[in-house]
Amino acid sequence: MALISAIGMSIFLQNWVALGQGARDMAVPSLLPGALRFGDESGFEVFVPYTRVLIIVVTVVLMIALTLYIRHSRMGRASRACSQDMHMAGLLGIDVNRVISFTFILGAVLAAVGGVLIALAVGKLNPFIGFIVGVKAFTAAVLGGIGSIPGAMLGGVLLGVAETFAAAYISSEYKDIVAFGLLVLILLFRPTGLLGKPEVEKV
Amino acid sequence: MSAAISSSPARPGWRQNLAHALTATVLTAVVVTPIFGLHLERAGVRTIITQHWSNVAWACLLVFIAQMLRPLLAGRGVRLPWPKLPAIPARQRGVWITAALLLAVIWPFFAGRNAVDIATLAMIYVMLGLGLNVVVGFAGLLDLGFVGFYAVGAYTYALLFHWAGWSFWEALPLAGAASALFGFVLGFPVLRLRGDYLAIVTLGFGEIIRLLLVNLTDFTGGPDGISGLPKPSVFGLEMARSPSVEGATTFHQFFGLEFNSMHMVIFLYLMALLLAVVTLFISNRLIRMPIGRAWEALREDEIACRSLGLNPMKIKLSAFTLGAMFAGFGGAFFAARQGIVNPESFTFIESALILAIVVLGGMGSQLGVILAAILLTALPEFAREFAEYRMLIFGLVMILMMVWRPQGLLPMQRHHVEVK
Repeated sequence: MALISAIGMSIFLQNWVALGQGARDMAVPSLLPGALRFGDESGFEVFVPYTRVLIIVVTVVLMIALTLYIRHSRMGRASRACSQDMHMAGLLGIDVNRVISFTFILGAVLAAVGGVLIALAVGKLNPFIGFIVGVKAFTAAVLGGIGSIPGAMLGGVLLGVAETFAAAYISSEYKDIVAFGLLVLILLFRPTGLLGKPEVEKV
Repeated sequence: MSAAISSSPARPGWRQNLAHALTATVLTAVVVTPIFGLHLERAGVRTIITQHWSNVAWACLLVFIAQMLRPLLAGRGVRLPWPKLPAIPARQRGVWITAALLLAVIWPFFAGRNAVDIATLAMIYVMLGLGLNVVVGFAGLLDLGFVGFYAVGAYTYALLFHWAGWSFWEALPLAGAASALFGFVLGFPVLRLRGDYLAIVTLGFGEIIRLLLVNLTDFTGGPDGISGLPKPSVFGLEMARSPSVEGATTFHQFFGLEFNSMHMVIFLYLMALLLAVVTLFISNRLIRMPIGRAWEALREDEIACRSLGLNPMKIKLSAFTLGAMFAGFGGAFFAARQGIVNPESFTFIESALILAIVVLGGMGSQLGVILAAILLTALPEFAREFAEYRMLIFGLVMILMMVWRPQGLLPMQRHHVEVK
């Protein structure tokens, strides 16, 4: 039932921000105007705004940092142990509650970085932009395989590409449907995700 | 800090206490500053920041004092007894239920229009809560897309009226059937999932249904929805000032009454009450049937359940389908009451509200769900000045219930026989 309190927390935080800052759309000043230009002026020109470049750079740096941290640090090792067997990890002297708090903080920090980046790129925000993104983050994690960091990255990229193609070839109104449809299909045919390992339940 | 307290070995020293309080205060400052300390304001096209440090100071002070006092209060607080129903002997129970029902039927004739209207809404949520209770409470399947089935029921009536001119009573069974069919079909893929996966996939389904309703503009009317839905008739008698068809009799003409729009309000309330009571009766019977026992077994332990030769697929599907059917009836009634349906009424927050009703009342506890539904729909209506805090409190209630009383206000009581 952890999920129910998580939903409660999500509703609480969204309305907490709405109460403090108002629920309406707000403009974000563009801190990084301009764009990279590819191609010559006569023919096919492609502009890549600096904010998008920033997103890619920050994401790649964070992905590498996260991978290294989870793989090599003490806390990373402890959290991997907890995800395998929380009870056993506790018996071996890992402070399970501390690890859980830490992973929640880490997850929230990554989400916050994502929020800042998307606000810069899109240029407006309101307290409720995060809900659908949260579900899509879950979709991406499931798509790649829960518990696998490269899987989550792969899932995120695939989901984004699928959505964009759906918006281009079908209609932009249907891109959310494609995302959720993808989630359902993955869970139907490959519940462990693309890079996940099958989980066997022991009794 | 007096010597009496510090001599007690179980209490942490005041230094540690101070350290905890300071940590909590710093955390409060961090959390409160960006939301209430710095306020973004729009000045023309630009957005400027204004500073309100007093808010932050007050919040910090409050948290600091609370944290300093906490060890003193710990263990001393009077434990409030949780509400518990007096044990009613089985023989008297029938009398009580009849009395409650009679009261529920009679009071609208003496009450104001607004109160009856709110009560009608509450009855719709009782019905939805009892429906979701079958899925979440009895079978233990966390369904976050329940509102999708509610939408299917509402749109079944709306579309049948719009495209084929069906009346409410003709469309009602079909609305339940359509929702049940949706529940059955959507139940298939989620059968193998459990826990959080199931919850997110059902959430996805709910969103897909809503997005389809928004985007299939030619068929469903898109974001505007379908309006002008007629209210239900009373055995073929229309409840209106004048009949819509030439030569037909209306309700007040037939009974020789003065036309009064209150009749319609009371009639809708009684119908909602009837639907809620029928839902209660059916789910109450179901939980005592083998299928109900199987739901509970599945909720407690799926593997053990399978080892005993029960088919989890059938059990999950039946719970999903029946829950969806109740939502469908609720949806059709909702559409008829509002006279208009649009996708706005079927957002995720509505699912969360129905889930909160089940959680607050106690998963599996029918009486709890009924009380919670009435509480959660009636309270916001009576406290309109707190409307902007409504969702905030609502989220808070969900968290606090899960932390302190996960079994709900009136926990489910297992049916059992005691041998004396």
